[in-house]
Amino acid sequence: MNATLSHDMSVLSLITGASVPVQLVMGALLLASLFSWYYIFLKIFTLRRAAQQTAEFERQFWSGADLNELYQRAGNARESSGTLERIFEAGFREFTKHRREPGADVAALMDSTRRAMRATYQREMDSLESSLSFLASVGSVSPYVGLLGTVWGIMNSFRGLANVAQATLGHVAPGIAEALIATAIGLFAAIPAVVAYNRFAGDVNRLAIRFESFSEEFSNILQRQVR
Amino acid sequence: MAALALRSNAEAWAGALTFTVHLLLLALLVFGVSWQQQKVDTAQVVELWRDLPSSAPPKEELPPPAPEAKPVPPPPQPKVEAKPPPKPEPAPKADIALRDKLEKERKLKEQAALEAEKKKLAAEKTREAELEKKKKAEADALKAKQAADADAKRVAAEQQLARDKLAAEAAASAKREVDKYLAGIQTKVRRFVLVPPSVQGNPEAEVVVTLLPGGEVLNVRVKKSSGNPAYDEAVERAVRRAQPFEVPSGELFQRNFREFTMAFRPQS
Repeated sequence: MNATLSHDMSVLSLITGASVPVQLVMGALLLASLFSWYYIFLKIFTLRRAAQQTAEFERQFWSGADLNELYQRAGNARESSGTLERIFEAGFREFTKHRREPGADVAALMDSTRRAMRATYQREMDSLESSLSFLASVGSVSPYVGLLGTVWGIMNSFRGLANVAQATLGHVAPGIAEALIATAIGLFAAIPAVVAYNRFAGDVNRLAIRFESFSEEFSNILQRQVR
Repeated sequence: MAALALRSNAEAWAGALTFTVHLLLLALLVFGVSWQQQKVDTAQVVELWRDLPSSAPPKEELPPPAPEAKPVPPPPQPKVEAKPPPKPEPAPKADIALRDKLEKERKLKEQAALEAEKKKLAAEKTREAELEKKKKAEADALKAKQAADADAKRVAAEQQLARDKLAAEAAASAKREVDKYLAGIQTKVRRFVLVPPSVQGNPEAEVVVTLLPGGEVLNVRVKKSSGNPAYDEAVERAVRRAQPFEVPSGELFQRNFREFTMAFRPQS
């Protein structure tokens, strides 16, 4: 029996004093929070960069540059090129290859060009959307996981009441506070993940619309060149 | 190459920022949410003061020294003995000369008597004035002495009062302290009392607890049974299980906690 009547209620001591399942839950949530923040920052950087590159390439493209020159540049700097540049490159490569073949049908030429662009577009979208699903699941699941830890902790602290004649708030309060820490950590992990997910999903959508409209317009330009 | 470098650069940045964010959260939790409980006494003895007692005991207002009952001597009335003028004796007709002579003599005598009377009166007057002066001086001295006496008495009373007050305060604070500890012990023991279901009503059990200076229980015995042996035993057991108690150290312990009696009721 502890002689002191007071309980040490600092957050750290609450965490270290929690029961093993609750600590496991807290650990899992901490891991989820770490990863979700890591992806949040990574996505912020990559999406911002993708938007910059898209704007840059659109500016170059619509300022009336020579298509061949653009294609050369895109092929040379493939590693640092942006998504839009890659779509353009894939489409133009397919177009030139197909065009050199004798007796090419215009419809078939445009179809294969569009398919090539579509394939690149999908690959690029996949890499842009990667780990968004992770953020979504952290945002939706971690409150429940935290709640599970809390429920477990509260169950334990109530079970401890069974062999006490006079139950006072002092008996339950530390256990409940300890258990609620799990919910707090779960919410800490979930809230930024949900906000970031919504934000990033919107950003990726807008980029996708830009890519799609660009590939449509580019197909039109190429089709005009055939005639 | 450049893209790879950029990508790993972004990853490093993301990792560093992630750790920063979590450190911030942790700091917020640890320092922002201060759940550090102050050590609270389970039972507070509250004294209500209308206002704070000043450090110096307030000057006790003694009734001002009673106005001296001035012994006013009644103003001495100069007693004027109005002596009736001596009646002229019926002159014997025998000798006119003699009579004249006698008359003359008598007149002279009378004059002398009057003179003497006057002198006597004046002397009396001066004597009386002197007496009065003396009396007045005496009264003044008495008054001064009485005032000094009252002053000394008042100072002594004040000092005594201050001493009494200090002693009473010390005693009260010691009692408060003891009460606080007793209440704490009582509360702690009460937590461990398992009231047996056979208890009827709200009987009181008194136990005598002997403590060691560290607050450990040396001995418990029932002084006054509640009439229900099971409850007595439960209280006894609870005292043993609730140890160690928080007790003061030093003389306060020796005087109040070495051995003390506590009463318990199933429902308080």
